[in-house]
Amino acid sequence: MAATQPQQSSNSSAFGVSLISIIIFGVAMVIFGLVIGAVFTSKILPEQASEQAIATDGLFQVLLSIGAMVFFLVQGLLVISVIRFRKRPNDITDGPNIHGNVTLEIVWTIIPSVIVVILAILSYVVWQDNAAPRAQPNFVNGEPITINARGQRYAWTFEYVTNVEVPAEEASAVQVQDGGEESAANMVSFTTNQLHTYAGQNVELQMQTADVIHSFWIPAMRVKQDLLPGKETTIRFTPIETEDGFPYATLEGPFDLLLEEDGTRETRSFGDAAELVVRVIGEESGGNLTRVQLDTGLQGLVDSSLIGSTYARYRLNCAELCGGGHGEMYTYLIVHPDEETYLAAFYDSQVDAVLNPPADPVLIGQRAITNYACAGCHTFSALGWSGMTGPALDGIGDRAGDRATAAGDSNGAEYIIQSIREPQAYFVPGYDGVIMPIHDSTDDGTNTYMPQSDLIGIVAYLCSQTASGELTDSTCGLESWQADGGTLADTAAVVEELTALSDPYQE
Amino acid sequence: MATISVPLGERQTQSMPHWTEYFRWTVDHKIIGVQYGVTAFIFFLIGGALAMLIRWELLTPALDTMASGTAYNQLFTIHGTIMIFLFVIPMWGAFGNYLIPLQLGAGDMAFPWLNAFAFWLIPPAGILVIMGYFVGQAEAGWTSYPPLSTLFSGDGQTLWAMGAHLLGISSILGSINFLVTILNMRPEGMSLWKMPLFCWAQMATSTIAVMATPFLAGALTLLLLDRVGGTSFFDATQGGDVLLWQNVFWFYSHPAVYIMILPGMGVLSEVLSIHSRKPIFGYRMIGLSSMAIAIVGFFVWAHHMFTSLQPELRIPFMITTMIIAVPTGIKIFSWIGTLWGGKIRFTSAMLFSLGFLSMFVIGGISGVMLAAIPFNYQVHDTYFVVSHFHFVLFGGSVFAIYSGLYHWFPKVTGRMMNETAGRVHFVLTYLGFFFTFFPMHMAGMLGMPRRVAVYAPELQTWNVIISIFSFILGISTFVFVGNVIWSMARGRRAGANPWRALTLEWATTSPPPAWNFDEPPIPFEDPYGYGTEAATAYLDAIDRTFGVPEPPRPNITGGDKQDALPSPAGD
Amino acid sequence: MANIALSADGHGHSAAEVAHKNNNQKLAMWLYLASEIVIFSIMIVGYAIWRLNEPAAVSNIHKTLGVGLVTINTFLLLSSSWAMVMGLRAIEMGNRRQFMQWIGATALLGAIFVGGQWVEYRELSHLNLTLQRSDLTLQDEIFESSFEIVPLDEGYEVTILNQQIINDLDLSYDTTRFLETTVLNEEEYAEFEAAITAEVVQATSNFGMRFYAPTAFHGAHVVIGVLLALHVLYLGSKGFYDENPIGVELFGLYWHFVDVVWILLFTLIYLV
Repeated sequence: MAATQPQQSSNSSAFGVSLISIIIFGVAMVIFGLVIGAVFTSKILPEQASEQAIATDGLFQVLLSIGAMVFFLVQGLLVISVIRFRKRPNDITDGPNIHGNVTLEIVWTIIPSVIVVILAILSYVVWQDNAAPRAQPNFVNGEPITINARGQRYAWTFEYVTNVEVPAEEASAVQVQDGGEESAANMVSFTTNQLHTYAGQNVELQMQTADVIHSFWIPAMRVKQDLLPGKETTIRFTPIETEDGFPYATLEGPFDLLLEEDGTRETRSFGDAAELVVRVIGEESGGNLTRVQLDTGLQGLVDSSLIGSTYARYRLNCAELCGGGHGEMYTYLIVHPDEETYLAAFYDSQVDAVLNPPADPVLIGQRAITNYACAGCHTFSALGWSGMTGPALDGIGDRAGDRATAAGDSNGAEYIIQSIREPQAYFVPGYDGVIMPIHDSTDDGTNTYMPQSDLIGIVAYLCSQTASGELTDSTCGLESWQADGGTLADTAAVVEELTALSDPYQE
Repeated sequence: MATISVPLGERQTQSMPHWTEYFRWTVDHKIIGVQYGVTAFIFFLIGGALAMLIRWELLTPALDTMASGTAYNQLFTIHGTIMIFLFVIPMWGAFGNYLIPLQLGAGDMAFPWLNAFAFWLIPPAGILVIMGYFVGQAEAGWTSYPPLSTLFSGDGQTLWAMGAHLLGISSILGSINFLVTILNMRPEGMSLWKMPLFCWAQMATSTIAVMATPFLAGALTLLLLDRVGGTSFFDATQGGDVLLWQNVFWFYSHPAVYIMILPGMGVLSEVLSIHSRKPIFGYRMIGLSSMAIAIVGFFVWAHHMFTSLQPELRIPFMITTMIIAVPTGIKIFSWIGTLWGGKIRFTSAMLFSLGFLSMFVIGGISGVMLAAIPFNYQVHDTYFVVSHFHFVLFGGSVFAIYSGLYHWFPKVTGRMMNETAGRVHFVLTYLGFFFTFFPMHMAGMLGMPRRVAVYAPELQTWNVIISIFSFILGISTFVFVGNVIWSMARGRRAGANPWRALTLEWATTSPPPAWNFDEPPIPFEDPYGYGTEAATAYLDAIDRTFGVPEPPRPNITGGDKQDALPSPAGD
Repeated sequence: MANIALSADGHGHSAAEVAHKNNNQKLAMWLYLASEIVIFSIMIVGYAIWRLNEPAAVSNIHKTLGVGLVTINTFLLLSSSWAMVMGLRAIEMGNRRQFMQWIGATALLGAIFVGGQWVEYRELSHLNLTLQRSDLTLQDEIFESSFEIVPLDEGYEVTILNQQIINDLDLSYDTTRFLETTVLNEEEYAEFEAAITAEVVQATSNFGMRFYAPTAFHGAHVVIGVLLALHVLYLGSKGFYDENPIGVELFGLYWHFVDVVWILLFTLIYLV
């Protein structure tokens, strides 16, 4: 080893360093690391919104502190070296013929080894704790339910298989999504585009992908797991209440919003069907009005009575490249403050809608459309979708008639049916070759399965999407499509007509 | 200390081969080296231009500059492919080709014909990769995970795989050549332990390339079979397995990271010692740590798969990944030990090596952070990872490449590079690099996945900062290109040994003659034995034989600052 | 400087230099073969993993294929390796005529091996085992050596010829029934067919690509080897190896490597 070199120096004084300066430098290094770790850990990570996040961030603080120490050590030595040992003018001699120092080399092999071993053990402990199955997963009403997350280019869908049994006499009438597993076939299940939970619930998702690899990531929860073709993967996290609390609320129409823009105030009226997600800033005017912030960043005032239950909302990303719409493949995790609110604001109404489906196909469609991965590719303001891969659905009711002419369909409604059942039959100009998945009438596992009842509802819902909001402006060309106020006059006739139109597309 | 030896002959000047020589098949390792280097640099400019487009798109959170998300995906796919397979790896091929025979005192590589063949595989491979734009470019990222790359990507993906295949073959053949040359062609008196550390690094690199690149070849063969042969190795619905690709691909691609960084560490060992006029600190540990990194590097691959691998298999890879930080740390501390007590000359080559030291350590730290599985869950496949590997591959490899180019340019061309422009280049690159890539850590941790054109609006501030500095980084490249062109024509004559270095490539004229040495050179007893009388005498003898550098010309604007350069010790 | 690209002749041919060059070439060949091993190992390991997971399907395939033809083939390849050794020894002893004969035998045996493999590929493709996954059904010919299924008026008469195939079958009724010919009713048969399809038929469908990829890749190496042997033969006839038979030795290394890989493949695919 280096010790055999003749001009080997065996003590550190040869390096021109006194013990005291080493100690000062070492202490400074440690303090620097600890300060960086303490100050920046919370600043450069998103909100700590899960129990896993707290443990992970604790680990990160250790990593950051040690990393900062190493950084300070190396950069400090580097700066000292280049200043202290720079070549002086007119000095043309070489440096000392030193080839190494065994003690030093052993020291800087052993110390990093010890550090990485400690870090590995610490990481293992945190990992084991975070990844271990929790007691009482997905508890709702004192019983566990199954939540299946499904990734499909480019949207997330979440299927809740509840512990509510389908009443025997209704079992045949109620559509069970995705054909259902044997064990779940007699349970009510429903599907949403956003993942709902409540603070303290031990969430456990069974995840599957319909096509390529996706990766489930909620930055605020610090969890990530890939969805792999041919496998089922699991992810677990437990949301908690953060310092921000539960600042989001959904305003349901009709309501007026006093919008502030560039110093001016302007009242915007929202209709019956409107839903607007806002961040609640605080109450004003003695509590009558509440200041809210829109996703666009604009602020406004609404009547305080409109603010129902509030919740926390976190972005849920796809983290594994899955194609052209990868960046748009995100949705939100909704964390309700407690189980009671969760039941009232979300769960019970979803179960109820399955057990007691509305007669109006438009209302059926409004719910059913969220069962499918449409959000990933289509922009649709009414439901807050912003996909860019396929054509927008905003105002589709106005355009369907013209498209039907272009595509050679009998009327607008048939055009929409065809677009869902046989997406390749006609491409909207500008979207040539963009392949939308086929939504099949049979559940044979080859394509996405969409029962006729869902199809009819979705077509009716899309037909109702006109710029004016008036049902009668629809260009779908249905004879039975008559409005009575804001709703369809004869829902049964519309269903009948749509059934007839879609029958040729049944296999 | 009487083992001073000087090649005989009074050859003072030498000119580069005629420019047409560089455009035809030749077996001269020096010409092939330049061919590799220039080809790689052209690809660097192309890849860099793609990076600028990526950053332009990311100025806003919406998709605007690019026609579609797919077009954006093609952009970073080709950026990554070009930078890795067509720039960094061939660029180290350039250094290896030019320097290994010279540093070993040999006339050429062991297999000159094979050497040329390996080079000439690269241009067609590059064309194949770029041709993809005419048939639907590859869009699955440079990692090309199936089933995205098999069932959902355009025909360009097939061309991409064929191009990568050719590059892999080129890399294997080149590495076999390097290994045989290093193991069998050393001169008398140069044991492995007296070999320049750049050769040590190339030996470790070539070992990895020979043993790991076939994994890429195997994986690409299966990918091509899936794409055009109708098999379904990676199609889970047809009995295949998507993790097969990830395992095999990373079994190559993680060692490939070391293929890209180890030669840079070799360059650093040369430059830091020579430009601080002090022996390398802990020669054996640096050489051995290269081999340790090469070996341990084969057992860390699955740390790229912490979110896809079976959970219980993740832990061993966390441990090996953390362990690999130790030999890397040894190198960094040894380099600081080299600087400590030296007479540091702030040449451009030295500045870039110092830049490597200070930037690479950040990549090392974030590497250990990434190995910690719970934290990895937060940052896997985010801009944190993008930042990490750019700190390794730009802060590491590219800084080392620049350092090496400034250091050996005089040997290749016979002229010195302009030091003032070199400093401007360094400052722009250093600042542009740091402020481009450091903020990416934050963007990633805060929630920005990698490979997205559409991102959360609250991350825009970070992205604007990143983009602006990336443009500065892009511009800095042209300072270098200008400097090269200016110096080729006007640079001061370098003489044989402008840095007064002890390794053998400096014991011949610049550029070296055909077959490199007129007489078989006898190596100095210690390639880094600075600070001894014997070394001074040896260097003086070289100066007497081959002549000294042309003195600086302070009257020329942008001329060299005398103080920065080593002056002959004897005069 | 136009002549900078000098040919290797610039250096003369001392004995030491020849020895040195030979050493270089042998080292390079070993390194090349090392990287070849890696490529083969991906396919071999890929097959081995599948093999471990699907014992029932493999048992069925083994029973269908038999090892007759391939054993002869293996023997031919081993013989060719021996001929290779003899050829090298002959040229080292300076006997060019014998050398030509032995290397000619090597090439011939290699060519016959390729022909044998071609015959086997044709047999397999008749059984619907192709590179592309063919979705086999229980009625396909490849399962005839394992089952005899005779449809009756009510139910099916099932005879299991290959007992191993039902070892791990998960059925609601007792599988010991299958020890001799048994009659299954429609319901039982449906369950039986579903279980066999899941356990055996689908796995057999996946056999093709895992079999063809390594064997064809190996076959390509044999073809290249035969061409190389002819090249060596041609050069040898010109007296190229009289002074320095390193070229023959290098080709020998390659040929032995191809041989060793085949023994691995043969053992893994046909024997275990």
